[in-house]
Amino acid sequence: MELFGKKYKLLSDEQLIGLLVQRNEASFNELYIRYADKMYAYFYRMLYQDKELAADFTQSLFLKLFEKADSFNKVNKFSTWIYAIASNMCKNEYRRNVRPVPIIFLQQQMFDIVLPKGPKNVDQEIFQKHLQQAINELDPKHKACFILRYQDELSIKEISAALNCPEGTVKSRIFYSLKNLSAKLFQFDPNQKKMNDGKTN
Amino acid sequence: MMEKPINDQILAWLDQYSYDELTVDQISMVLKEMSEQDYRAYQTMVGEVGALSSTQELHAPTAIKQQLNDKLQGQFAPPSGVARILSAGVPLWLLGLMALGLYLLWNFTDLMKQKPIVIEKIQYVAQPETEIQYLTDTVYQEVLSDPIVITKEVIKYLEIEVPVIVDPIDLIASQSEFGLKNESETDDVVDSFEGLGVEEEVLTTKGTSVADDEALMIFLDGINE
Repeated sequence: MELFGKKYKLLSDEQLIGLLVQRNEASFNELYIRYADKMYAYFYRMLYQDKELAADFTQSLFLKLFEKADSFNKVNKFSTWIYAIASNMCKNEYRRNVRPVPIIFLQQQMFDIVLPKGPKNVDQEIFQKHLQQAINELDPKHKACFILRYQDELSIKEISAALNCPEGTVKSRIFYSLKNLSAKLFQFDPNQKKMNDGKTN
Repeated sequence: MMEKPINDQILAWLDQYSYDELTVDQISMVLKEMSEQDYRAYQTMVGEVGALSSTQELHAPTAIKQQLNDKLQGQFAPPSGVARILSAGVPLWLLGLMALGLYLLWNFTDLMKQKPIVIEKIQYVAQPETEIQYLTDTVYQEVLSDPIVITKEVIKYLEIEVPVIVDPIDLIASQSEFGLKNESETDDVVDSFEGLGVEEEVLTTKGTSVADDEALMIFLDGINE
């Protein structure tokens, strides 16, 4: 199978979705290989860090991809299109079911660390836990922009297309998120701590 | 907190440069929008968010694909051609082996089924041709009233040329020095003495007449009587 699998690996996302319109199974499998992990991670980050929910949404997303392959506009990038579908699914989920933001039990998780790490690593770990908590608390619109930019590494233009909003709005939302997060996490920022320690010394 | 538009370049610099890496012009632009502390804090945030996503290493569970396969079963277009063979789960090494086998078989049978080469070798075949001659014997004409007619059948053999198909292997064998020799042919028979260093003897002595041999004459006379 490898020989013919290689052939599909060489095709672009847009060519693969073109084949999927003709109900080509191999193209669907290749698209799954390319995007399943990314989409699962996106849903996980966007939807309350719930693994089961993320798995369900990933499955639904690929079913939609199969059913609506013919609605893909070849002018757009496939990656933008799939993120647009995923973002809409998240939006609908937020409307349908408002859940409380999951709380990360920082103290308990810290006790799980068996081997002592350097002070910087522990600080960083604490910071990352708080960062994750703060991202979860962001407004869905801001969270989507922020996650797509810094975790899924989409460009401003791609985010704008995926979320169907102007680029300026995307930039503002990202900046707002940065500001919000830094305000919340100021006390946990290892670099700020260092600076403060330096000042006190 | 109100959302306010931010300079595009500053957002790009946050991704790329630390505060210390900024040029003087860049720093002056940054300081119009935010403090140094803010820039450093945002930069830390950007770096940590990236690090956070890399440490999470989220992979889609394999169950998703299995469930998708179940749900989409029979909805894909049936594979055609080689893809159909591959979809049957035949391993590639086995396909390669089969192809090699077919190739060898093809060549082998091609060798075996080599068509005979038509060589128009001329073979001389004796063709009998009967000729009947009628001779009238007049020796006893005085005794008998009618002459005796002797019928003589003469069979002549004419050699005619017949083209024949020769098996190339037999032809090669016959042409080769290792080929089988004719059973009647022996090694000590030579067609000619030429080149063998044997001189031809020429008879120069004159023979005697038969009539001079008296003994022979007496013997012959005895027979006639």
